[in-house]
Amino acid sequence: MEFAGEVFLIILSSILVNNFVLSRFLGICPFLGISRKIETAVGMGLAVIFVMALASVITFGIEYLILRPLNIEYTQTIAFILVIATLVQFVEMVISKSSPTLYKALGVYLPLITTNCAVLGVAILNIREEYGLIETLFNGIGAAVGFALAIVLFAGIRERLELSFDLPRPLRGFPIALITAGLMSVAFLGFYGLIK
Amino acid sequence: MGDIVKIGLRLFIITAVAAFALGLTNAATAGRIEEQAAIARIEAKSQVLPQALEFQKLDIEEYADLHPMVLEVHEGTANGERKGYTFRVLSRGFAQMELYVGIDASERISGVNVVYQRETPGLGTRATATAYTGQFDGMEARNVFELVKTTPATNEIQAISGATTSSAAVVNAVNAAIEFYALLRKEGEHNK
Amino acid sequence: MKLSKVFFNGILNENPTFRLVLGMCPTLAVTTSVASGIGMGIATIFVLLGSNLVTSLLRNFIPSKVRIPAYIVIVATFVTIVGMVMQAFVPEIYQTLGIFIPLIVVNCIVLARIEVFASKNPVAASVMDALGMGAGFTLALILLASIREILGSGSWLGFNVTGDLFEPAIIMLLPPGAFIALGLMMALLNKFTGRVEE
Repeated sequence: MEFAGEVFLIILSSILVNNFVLSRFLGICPFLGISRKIETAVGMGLAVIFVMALASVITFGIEYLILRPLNIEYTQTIAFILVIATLVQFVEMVISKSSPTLYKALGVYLPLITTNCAVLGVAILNIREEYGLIETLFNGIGAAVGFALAIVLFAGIRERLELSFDLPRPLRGFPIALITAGLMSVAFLGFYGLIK
Repeated sequence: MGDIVKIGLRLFIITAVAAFALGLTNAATAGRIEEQAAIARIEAKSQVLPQALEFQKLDIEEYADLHPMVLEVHEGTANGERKGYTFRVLSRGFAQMELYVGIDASERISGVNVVYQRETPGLGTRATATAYTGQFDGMEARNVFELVKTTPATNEIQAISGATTSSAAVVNAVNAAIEFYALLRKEGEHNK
Repeated sequence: MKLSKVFFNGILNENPTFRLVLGMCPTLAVTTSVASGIGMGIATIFVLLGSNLVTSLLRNFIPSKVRIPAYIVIVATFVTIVGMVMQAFVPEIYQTLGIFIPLIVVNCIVLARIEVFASKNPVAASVMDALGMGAGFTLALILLASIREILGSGSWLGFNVTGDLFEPAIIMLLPPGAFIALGLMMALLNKFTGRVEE
């Protein structure tokens, strides 16, 4: 029972308290780039959740079943990123076959999940925090949900922003996006006290 | 078909060269990295038990279940005379924290040093700074400390406002060392 | 093309941070102190240099169909090498930068320059591009880190510079400070260079 509590804490922590985007700065590029429409953000979020969950588990296996026994931990970066790249190719194929509209909407951002620092980041973090398999899986899912939450919220805000008032021209585009993210980050700071 | 073989072969060559380069660099740096780590470990112990010149690791496997936070215990000696003990403790604030706690022969805390932390910069990191960890120096290592938010009495430590979790992590680690020290004393592993 | 033009392109016209908006993750994460910013900048320059150089040298050897995996292998190798060297010779900086060293492999700047420039240009130009982009990135890091460190810790490169002038605003060291500082900097730059976006 205590284990379930610990897992719950991990999930809560990675979604809210240590939100990957707003606290850990992982996954910023797609966060800033893709989040102008809510539907695309949701699609991207789901794709990332799938990739991160799978990637967490597979990289866990690779680290403990291959790298450590063979004493080649230094190949971690290469091995992990290649696994992620392969996984993303696979997800791309699946989406292009099952939902061509989503595939078109996500466009170039789908292969870009490979360079999403959140994916590689969570894989490395799982190892550094010395999580077991279940904790790794849930940390991966939690981190991805946090990312998805952040980009969907962000997309919602930006959709409103574009429709509402006339922003001064220097602020348009990335500056206002960053400032908005900053304000969201302040809000999420409030979650710091959640975990004692 | 020949095309795929050609592509595959080229990719393989690139990967092979890369792996070779990595292996080379690893061979060249691994020794130095291990050296740095060893130096850092000794330095970490000397900092909390400056009187000692040599450190001998104690076998604490039998106590691992009772005291999971304490990772290592070393006996510090100088010229054959025991000067105290150092404890490498794992604690947790917002993230994992690793500290060394030194308890000297007069049963006082000789030093607390945080060697690894990922607390909130500017807030939690204040609890891991020497200004905070230094307050333990010279305190008696007899009873565990309690973390309070107001003015502390004896055996109480005041938390840094805004950094309660991180402060607690430090205090918990010190307490773990104190408890383990009590264990050592009871086992009579040292003569008074 | 003139080599010096390629170099300065990376610093000004196509500054990876302010113009291309690439490499945001490390930019926001490691700029809590100028020292970290410089450390990350130098590490990235090495990776850029190595990756651009090798990719340019091999640009006719790498089959187009598998170029992405090939690029990844090349970049990851250099990132690992830089990481190992840092761990061996400057362990404190290595610890401070933490997870962001291996994350250089997904720093969009590196992959973008390989794909856009080094794979299509001769070696000398690619080297200049790497140096220029790296310098531009490092300068951006130093700029942002200076603001955050001075306002957030009252120091610069570890030296106390504000004394008792004001109580440092810790928020600058926290995520919100990073986002807002960078956003405002970009807005200011937009205003002064007259370039704006829709």
